[in-house]
Order: sequence, then C-alpha cells, then structure tokens
Amino acid sequence: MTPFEEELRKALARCEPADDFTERVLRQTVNREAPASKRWLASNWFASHWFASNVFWRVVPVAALLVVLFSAAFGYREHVRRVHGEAAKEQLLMAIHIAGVQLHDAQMRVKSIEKSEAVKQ
Amino acid sequence: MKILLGLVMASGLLTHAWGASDDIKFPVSFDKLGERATESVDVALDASMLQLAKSFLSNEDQEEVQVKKLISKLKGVYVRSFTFDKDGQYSMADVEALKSQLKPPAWSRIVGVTSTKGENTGIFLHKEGNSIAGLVVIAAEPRELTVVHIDGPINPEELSELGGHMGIPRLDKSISGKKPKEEE
Repeated sequence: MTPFEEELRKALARCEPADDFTERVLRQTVNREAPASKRWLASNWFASHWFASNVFWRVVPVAALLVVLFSAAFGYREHVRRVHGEAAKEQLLMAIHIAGVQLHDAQMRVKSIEKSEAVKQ
Repeated sequence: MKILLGLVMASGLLTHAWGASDDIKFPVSFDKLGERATESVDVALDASMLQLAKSFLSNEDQEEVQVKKLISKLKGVYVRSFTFDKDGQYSMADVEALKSQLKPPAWSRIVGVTSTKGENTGIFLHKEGNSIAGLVVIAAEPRELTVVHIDGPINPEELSELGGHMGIPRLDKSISGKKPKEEE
C-alpha cells in the first residue's frame, strides 16, 4: 500500500460525529432568520398550501386567460357601442338637417303665397 | 281557423313592416320606392337610439348642444326621403296612406301647400293640451318625396334656432298658428 493509498483509506474511513453535533445544527437553524415572504407563508397556512399545490399553477393561466378574454369582450363591446353611437349621431344630424330644410321650404312657399295674395289685393 | 290564423300572422307582419314608430306607420310601399329612387334616406331613431346619439353629441360645439337640447324629450325621429330621376315614380296613394293617419283630433294640419306644379307640402302637429307632442312634415314634389316624423314634445322655436347652422336656412319662429294655405 502506497502512502497515498494509506491517506485515502484514512480519509474515507467511517467517523462518528461529535455528541453535540445535532444540537448545534438545530441551534443554528433556529437562530438563522427566514426571509419575509417565507415567514408570511409559514404564518399563513392557506397561502402556503395554495401556492405549493398544483391547482394554483393550473388556475393561474386559466384566470389570466379569462381576464384577457373579458377585457377583449369589453373592449369589443365598447367599440361596437361607439360605432353605433357615431352612426346614430350622424343619422340624427342628417334628420335634423332634413327637417329644418323642409320646414324652411314650407315657410318659403307659404310666404310666396301670402305675397302673391297681397299683390292680387 | 287556418284563415283566421293566417290573417292574424299577416296583420302582425304588416304592422312590423310599417315602421318602428308607435303613432305613425310608414306604408310598406315606401320600401319599394327606395328601389326606384336614385337617392334615398332612411333614418329611424327610437328613444334608445336617440339617447345613444345624445351621448355622442359634443358639449362644446354650439350646434350639437342645441341639438341635444332639442332632442332631450323626444321619443323618436324618423325620416324617409326619396329622390327620383324622373316624374311619376310614386303615387299620391303612398302619401295619402300616410296622411290618413294624421287626422283630427289628435293631429292638426298647420301648413298645407298644394301647387299645380305637383308640389304638395304639409306640416302636421300632434298637440297634447297646449304643448306639441309630435310633428310630421310631408313634402311631395314630382321627383322628390320626403317625410319627417318627430315623435315627442318639440319646441319649434328650438328647431328654428338651428336655422343658419348645419346647412339649415334661417327659419321664422312662427311655425305654429298658421292656417292652411292652398295654392291652385
């Protein structure tokens, strides 16, 4: 056995930990402060279970898709309403224009009759 | 029984086809006039459409503010106008079908002009007490037929205020109160 092999055998030999090893490890774990998010998760049973569950990661894309779909539907509805509203406005202005012109024409005809009657008299 | 059912269905279809207004129904023949006309206008705005149109009118444009005020209490605005390229494209029966609905006591004719040139103009008012609850203008010329029905309380002075704007010539404020004039 070469000196190198002898060193390797010693290094890999089974070695029992010190008696207070477990106690020291546990003490270190308690002393080390957890990050805020982990503390919140730890304090909130529902959140910790919810985020950890597979359901959460299935629900999130569906919810996001629903939000997008609802936004698109709302946007389309608003677009249709705007188109209809602008068309209604144009129709209304045209109707008012025609009504005004027709009333004016009627007045002009009445006036011309009144004038011709006055001339006859 | 089948005949009765058929009559009920036919009357329902006829009522539907005669337009959207509660009081005045445009004759079905008007739809066919549109096919013969070189230009036709068909405006049918009921109360809900008027409200929608109103919400799109500007609060800053003076003309649109006036229109907003004018239509605030209206129940509907209906216009049918046809322009033809030759005479005799419509019959007076089409016009009479409309006029027959504008009978007293609900309706009164305030202006009626009939000329030998074939021009026939009538302004009819629907009065409820002292207020005007509707206005119909029928202008029948050899190559043009226009019917305007404004349904609901309307102040002619507000309409006349629009004169000089929106391509409308200036109007006298004395639309009502005139006796029918006849020209032969």
